[in-house]
Amino acid sequence: MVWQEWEQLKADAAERHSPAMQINSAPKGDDGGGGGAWGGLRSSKAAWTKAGDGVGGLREGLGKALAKLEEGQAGLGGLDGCQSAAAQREVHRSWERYVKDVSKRCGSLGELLAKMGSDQQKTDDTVRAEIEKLKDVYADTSALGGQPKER
Amino acid sequence: MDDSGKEPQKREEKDSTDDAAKLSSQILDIMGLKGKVTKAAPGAYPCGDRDHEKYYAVHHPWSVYDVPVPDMEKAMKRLKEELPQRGWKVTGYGPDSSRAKSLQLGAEFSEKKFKVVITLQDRRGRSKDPSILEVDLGSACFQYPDKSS
Amino acid sequence: MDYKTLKSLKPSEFEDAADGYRATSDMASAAKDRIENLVAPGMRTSLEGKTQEAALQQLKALSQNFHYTQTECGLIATSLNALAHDLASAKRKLDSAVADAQAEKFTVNPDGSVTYPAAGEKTDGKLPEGGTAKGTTDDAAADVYRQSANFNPNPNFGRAQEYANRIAAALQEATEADGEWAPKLRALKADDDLTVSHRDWADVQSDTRGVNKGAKEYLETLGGPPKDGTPQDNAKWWKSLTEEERADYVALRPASVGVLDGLPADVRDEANRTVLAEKRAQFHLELNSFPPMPMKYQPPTSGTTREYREWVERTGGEDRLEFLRNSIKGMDTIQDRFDRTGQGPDGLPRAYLLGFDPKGAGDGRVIIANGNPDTADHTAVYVPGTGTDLAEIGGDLKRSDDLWATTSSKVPGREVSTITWLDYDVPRSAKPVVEGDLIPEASNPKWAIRAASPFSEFMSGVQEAQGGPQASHTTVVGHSYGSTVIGEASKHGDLASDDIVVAGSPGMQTKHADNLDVENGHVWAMKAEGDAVPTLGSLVGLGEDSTVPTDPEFGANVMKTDTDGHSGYWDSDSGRPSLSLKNQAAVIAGKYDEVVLK
Repeated sequence: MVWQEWEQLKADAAERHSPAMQINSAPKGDDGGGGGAWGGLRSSKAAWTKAGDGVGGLREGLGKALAKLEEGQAGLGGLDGCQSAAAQREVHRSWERYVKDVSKRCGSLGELLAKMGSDQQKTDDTVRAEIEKLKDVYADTSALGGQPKER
Repeated sequence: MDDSGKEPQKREEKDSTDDAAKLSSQILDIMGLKGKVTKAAPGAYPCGDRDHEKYYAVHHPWSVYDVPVPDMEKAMKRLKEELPQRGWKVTGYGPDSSRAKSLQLGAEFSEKKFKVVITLQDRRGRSKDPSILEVDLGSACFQYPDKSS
Repeated sequence: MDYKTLKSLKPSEFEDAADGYRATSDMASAAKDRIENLVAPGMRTSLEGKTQEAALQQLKALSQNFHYTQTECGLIATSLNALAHDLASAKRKLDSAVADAQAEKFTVNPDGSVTYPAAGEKTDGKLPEGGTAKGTTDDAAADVYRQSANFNPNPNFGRAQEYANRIAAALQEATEADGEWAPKLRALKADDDLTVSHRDWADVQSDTRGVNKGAKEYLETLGGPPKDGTPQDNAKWWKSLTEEERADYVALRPASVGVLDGLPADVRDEANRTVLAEKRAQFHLELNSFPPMPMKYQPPTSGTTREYREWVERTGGEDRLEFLRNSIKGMDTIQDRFDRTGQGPDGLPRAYLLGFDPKGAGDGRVIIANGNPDTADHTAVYVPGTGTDLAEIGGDLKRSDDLWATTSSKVPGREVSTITWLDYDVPRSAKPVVEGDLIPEASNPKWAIRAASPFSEFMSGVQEAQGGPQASHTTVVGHSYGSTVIGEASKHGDLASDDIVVAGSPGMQTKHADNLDVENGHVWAMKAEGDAVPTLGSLVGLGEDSTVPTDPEFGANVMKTDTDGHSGYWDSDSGRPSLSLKNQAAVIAGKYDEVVLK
């Protein structure tokens, strides 16, 4: 079940040919801007926004995955007497939760990254502090004595 | 690059790479070609054997292609004539030492301490890959400015 | 499992559920790729500073969430497919027995027993009674029933008993499969936090083993790669599988898939990255919990202490410790390469891990490509020389990066892939006395002879995955003893390459370039100022008749160098590639006339 959209994204990510610019007319020399043809390629605001959008954009795929997970459960209701069916239900619930949590993570991180690129820019330190806080939200529960997995 | 033992100039990396980009744009401008140019931006690198925490040099390699070779030949001539008018000193113009004996131009921009080597690789008849104007722009060593506390 | 349940169960519904997990796994794989090869590199090139570092750390953690999801959901899908396969087999047997019973107008009861009507010869005007046969899976009991059937006047008894037994057997098969898979499925529940720890990856590894055990029969239906297959055989087998079957095979056997020559690069990469994640976790856990070394000596007693010897036997001792530390160092180096994607003026392309194994042929297996070789116009395979191993692979990976960048700038608009190939037992030393060898290990061709076949197979596999010999222009680049490996592989006419470049070669086991398996005129050799290895090599006889590739009588194109020593061939000065490096790039790019000859 590989979706066309994800295949396309993979293909885009591959960037098969070395990136090039088209020169249709000779650019004027020292224009006082950031170096003519090669200047201005390192705009940091744009980079943060792009990163934020890239991460936030992953939520779409996660949403589709949740839908497919749900679809797949359709025929398995009410199979009492089948231990595996009961086990699968538990597995499904756990992954539904996990995928939703990952989606939330994409959302928070994406927002934070995009904020760096927006005009309402907080100071570097404030944003970094907010990123650091994310660590606690997602910490390893077994280190804190959380649920060991059934094995 | 030979600094003749002088201590490298203190300059912010961003300023040096911006200078490289400007000089490359100037060269592209003089070429006056319509085609494709590679996007890679200038970068800073360790300078020879020097302490890489203190010193750096800028390198900007790029190429022009999808341009007919006769146009590239005209571009090389234009560079030879116009670079000196823009503060460059042409240090060499002639075939390189490869079997192809490709036309190569060398020039120096001493005020900001840059050197460029431009080679016309005419690949007609010997490769399916495009002919290119290969540009190799490099700087002398610079020093990172002292960090303000 | 009871009759009612198995009767109404549709195994295909487990397969439908599997599809949902498969889709999730595929989504996670694409998301991980996007983060690692698009978002993170984009940030690395454009940003810097502490905030960027913190953000990249979070991105890495998020990427781990996706990688974990990819592998676990892949395993769940495979488990459900295997479960469906096992239940379907039981259900077929059930349905067949029930159909046979019902064809004779017997009644199958809710408990699986079979009720048969009166039949047979009348005695005293009455037909022998009907009855209900309860099935058994016990052989002894079944025998007893069979015996008593001979004495039963109702001929239906024997057959009803047989049907009941078959039903019981089917139910038992289903019960066993159900009982086996339920705990394995539960083990695949998602972690309850979003930190993918070493423990979590170790759990994935053991989950994989558990699923493999359960899916043995299912695996058999998939078949496996042909035993001792050529890369062509392997490719053929892979192409014969459906998408679903391929995904199941990768989930169950990532290490096997990762090492199969002839398979596409992205398949090998995905499998090997899973192995890498699992091994890294496993080794960290082992190192962190390694029992401390007891006192080794206790004078005046001579020799080692008993406690020390027991510790060595139990844990593997200092050797194991060194292996763990070196392996982790090597794995960190590989991760560093992944983290370099996007950097450099041309933007280092994503890496493909075509081979990974901490042990390999003895020095570890690391095969990494810059860019996808399957679609490259120009491909290079770099074979390192003496002293290389997994722990020290960093320098070699950088050389491959520099070869990629310099070659790419020679052919803008074309795709280039450079591959580092370490998959042989590498001799320790090339110079006398170094590493304690009076006679350097590298004076012995046996390592090269042993490496020849795996190297040939690898090259053949790359060619196969590319689509044949015409698909890409290929160059092999051998450094030092790596060139001897190439010579050995090539001597026997089995090297899938168009050009051979050797740097600092001590000999290629043959006395003339024309004996190597490339067209005449396509062998290129370099020896830098201050590189003593070629001379040493000619003295110990790694070349034939003391001839090494930079000798005029060898007949190779000798390229000019401007670097020093045995290891400078890939140097750049202030970012500008040396002539030594540029000449290699010219050959790799197929621009032979742009080489500067000596």
